[in-house]
Amino acid sequence: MMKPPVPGEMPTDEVSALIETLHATGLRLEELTGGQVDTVANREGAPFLLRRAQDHLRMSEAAKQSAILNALPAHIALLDAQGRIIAVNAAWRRFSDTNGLPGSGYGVGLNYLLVCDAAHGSASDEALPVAAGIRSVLGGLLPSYALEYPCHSTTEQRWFQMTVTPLFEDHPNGVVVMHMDISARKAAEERVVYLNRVYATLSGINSLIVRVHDRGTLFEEACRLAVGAGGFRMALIAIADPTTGKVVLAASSGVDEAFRIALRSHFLAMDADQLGSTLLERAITHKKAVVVNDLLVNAEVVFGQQYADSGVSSMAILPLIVAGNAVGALVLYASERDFFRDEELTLLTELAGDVSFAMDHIDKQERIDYLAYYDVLTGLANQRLFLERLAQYVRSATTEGNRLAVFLMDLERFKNINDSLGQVAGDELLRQVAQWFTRNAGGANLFARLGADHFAAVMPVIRDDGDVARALESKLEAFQEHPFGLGDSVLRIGAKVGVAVSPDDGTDADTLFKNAEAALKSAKAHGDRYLFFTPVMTAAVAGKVVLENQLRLALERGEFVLHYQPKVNLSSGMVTSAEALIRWNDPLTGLVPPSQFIPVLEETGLIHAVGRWALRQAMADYLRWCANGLAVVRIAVNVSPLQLRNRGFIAEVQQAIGGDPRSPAGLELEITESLIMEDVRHSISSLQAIRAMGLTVAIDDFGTGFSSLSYLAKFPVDTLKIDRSFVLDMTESPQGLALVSTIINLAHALKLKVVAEGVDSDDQLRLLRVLGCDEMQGYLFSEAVPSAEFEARYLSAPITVQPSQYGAL
Amino acid sequence: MSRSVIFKFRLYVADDALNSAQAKANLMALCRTHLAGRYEVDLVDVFKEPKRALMDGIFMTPTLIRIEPSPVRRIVGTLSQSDVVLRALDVDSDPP
Repeated sequence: MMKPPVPGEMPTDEVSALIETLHATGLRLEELTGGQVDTVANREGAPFLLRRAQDHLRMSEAAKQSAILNALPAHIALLDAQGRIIAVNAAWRRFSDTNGLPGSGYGVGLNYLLVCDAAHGSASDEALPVAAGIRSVLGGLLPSYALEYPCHSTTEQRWFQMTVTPLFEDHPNGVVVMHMDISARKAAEERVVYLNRVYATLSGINSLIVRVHDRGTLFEEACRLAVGAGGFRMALIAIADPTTGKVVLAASSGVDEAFRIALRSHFLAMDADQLGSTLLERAITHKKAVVVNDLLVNAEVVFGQQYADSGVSSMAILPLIVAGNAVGALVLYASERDFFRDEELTLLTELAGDVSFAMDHIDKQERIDYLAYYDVLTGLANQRLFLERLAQYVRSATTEGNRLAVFLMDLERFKNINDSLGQVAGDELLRQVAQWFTRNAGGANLFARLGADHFAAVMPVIRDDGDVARALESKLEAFQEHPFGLGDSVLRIGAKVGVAVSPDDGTDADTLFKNAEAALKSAKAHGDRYLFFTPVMTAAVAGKVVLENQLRLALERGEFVLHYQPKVNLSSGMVTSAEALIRWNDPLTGLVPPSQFIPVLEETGLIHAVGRWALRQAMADYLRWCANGLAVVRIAVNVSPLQLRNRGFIAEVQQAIGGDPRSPAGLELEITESLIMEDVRHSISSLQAIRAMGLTVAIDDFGTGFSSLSYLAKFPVDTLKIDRSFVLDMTESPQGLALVSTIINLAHALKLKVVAEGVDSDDQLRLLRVLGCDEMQGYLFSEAVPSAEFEARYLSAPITVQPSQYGAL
Repeated sequence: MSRSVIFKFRLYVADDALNSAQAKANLMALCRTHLAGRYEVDLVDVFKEPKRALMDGIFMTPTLIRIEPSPVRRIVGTLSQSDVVLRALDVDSDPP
């Protein structure tokens, strides 16, 4: 067709002759140069392009770039400002073709944004953010946008990264949308995650070997770790029974009940003599790991449906080999397809090896351990195990902010018994004592025999010291009364106890143990039945227990009395009401102030009974005054937090006032501010119920709690009582004065009556009058006095009080 | 030819028209392979410097001129047949 190209020297005259010819026919020139020349010069020497070169140059920059784009594996499309696809690259076209996308909806001319907007179902998870991202870039709100999304098919896990970048950075009138297949990167990331999961399981199981001392726990923990730390969907351990050869499910985690039952019956049906048909049997007989990375499509799998239901896709069966024999298998299930690859499997084989090692270790240690940790005579823990357990209890007490108590005990007269009845009888007695402990005073895990007649116990959680003492008292009593039968004879035996309480007496097992021992020593030396390590505690605890009993008796015997402290109106000087204050008239020590026994009442729950009594007594006094024709005043009764929280409290109040229609007008309930704030909703409804009965309500100790003003306005109350501490500060500093002034103004703004408590000086009185306080209560006017005295002094009409009685008023 | 001789070339091209671009690529490859460290290439775009082309008597692109060593040689074309080109330029075809 044409001459071969002739590179080489070209004499000038030849060329000029050639040019003459070629100017006539450009095409001919191309033929002659074999297409190897781009330009020739014209007569003026100016070069002009030959047609081929012209064609070539005409290819626009965009065309060249599109060639480059076509070569890229990423799917790329150019969108205009409205989101219409104006150009796509070859990869984009191929992708939409092979994936049969709806209406070949990714072709040029289509509006990509509308396609995204119209997506529904799971496709909209990506499509909607994609549309938003494109709009943001088009609108110039974002410099670019990227999103990674999964696009899995039934056979493949695929991931894409979509990026949106503007066509022109300064005026985004179009964007480039690119979808890049990042499946390989994702897969690599996943491998790292998978490996880490396996490492986590492995290290957890390594620590098990040290911690765990029985097979059951080992299996349970190993499965739990695989699911917890390893992120496996399920884990189970199947063990071949050495005697029957039957495979049994030893432990599992993440396995639901239905599957567990299915597994059990499957194992039961397996023939011990013909292991080898199932994958599990194959793993055990061949002592080789079996991996199925496609559970849902693998025909060899027995439980396809259960796996589908449980969401597992891969399984590894790892034989457990102890002393050369496969004794069972650890089976791990992953929710991901294709989870178990060579690297994972190497680690998992190591993991199964660790479990096997631990099993072997436990087998050998079990007998030794028993001797090392248990008292053979009684079966209780020995000192070593007790200290280990104690350390654990201390740890959990510390983390949960609890306190615990450690007891060391010696039996009384045990040596005598041993000497007179013989060691066999002595041993029998120790066994029975141990039995009594575990049956009557908490589980076997809480007790230990340390040697001879020396026992220890732990109370893992105690609420308060009274708790410990009460428990001790009642248990010691019961123990002492228990008849132990030795042969024909029956004997009773006592015990001495030393107690150490965390954290006061120690924050670690050893210290607590040592201090309990010291307490026991001094209990024996002093002849006490029990002693706390901290002597104050013994005294306080003992005192409390005694006090509690006395208070119970006091209530029964009617030793509680109500005293009344008058409240006086600051402008009229009239006694307007009285606060009932409880006193205990102890026949031994005389009047006991409430601060010494109210806390014990609350601790023991006696407060409910005593509170009921106070309400009834106040009511009775009031009605008696009425009956006597006196000008009666309302009686304010204090309500303890525990009482108000009790849902039956409203009914109790109702009962107290139910007998007489005059009653409601005679009763006010004083409730501390902090108490109301504790449960605002319940408080409001309780207070409303109380006022609906015709009673009034006062907020006690106002200013010491944390009332928010918005709540205060909502509370259905009548009176605000300013705490004595504010009254005291009032004369000390301008700030104190300002505070009381504010409280009074606030109360008045809320239409509440204000009573100042603890007024004991003329200065205070003067100031309160200036500030417009309504009433006062305090030593300045009168202390709380017995009912009869109150009646005589303040209720014998007329009620007006002589000025001399309260100075400047 | 002595190793120390420096080859000086001037290549006349028409922007990045196909043949010019090929000639440029072929020349650079040839120089790197056979004249490593002892060549200089002066690139002239006839669209940008038409006068110079005219003065040098260049009527077609791509044209390669060997300025040194003398004598001056010229080759028109894409320089893709390297054996022929090497011979025309007196460059040893043996690999260095």
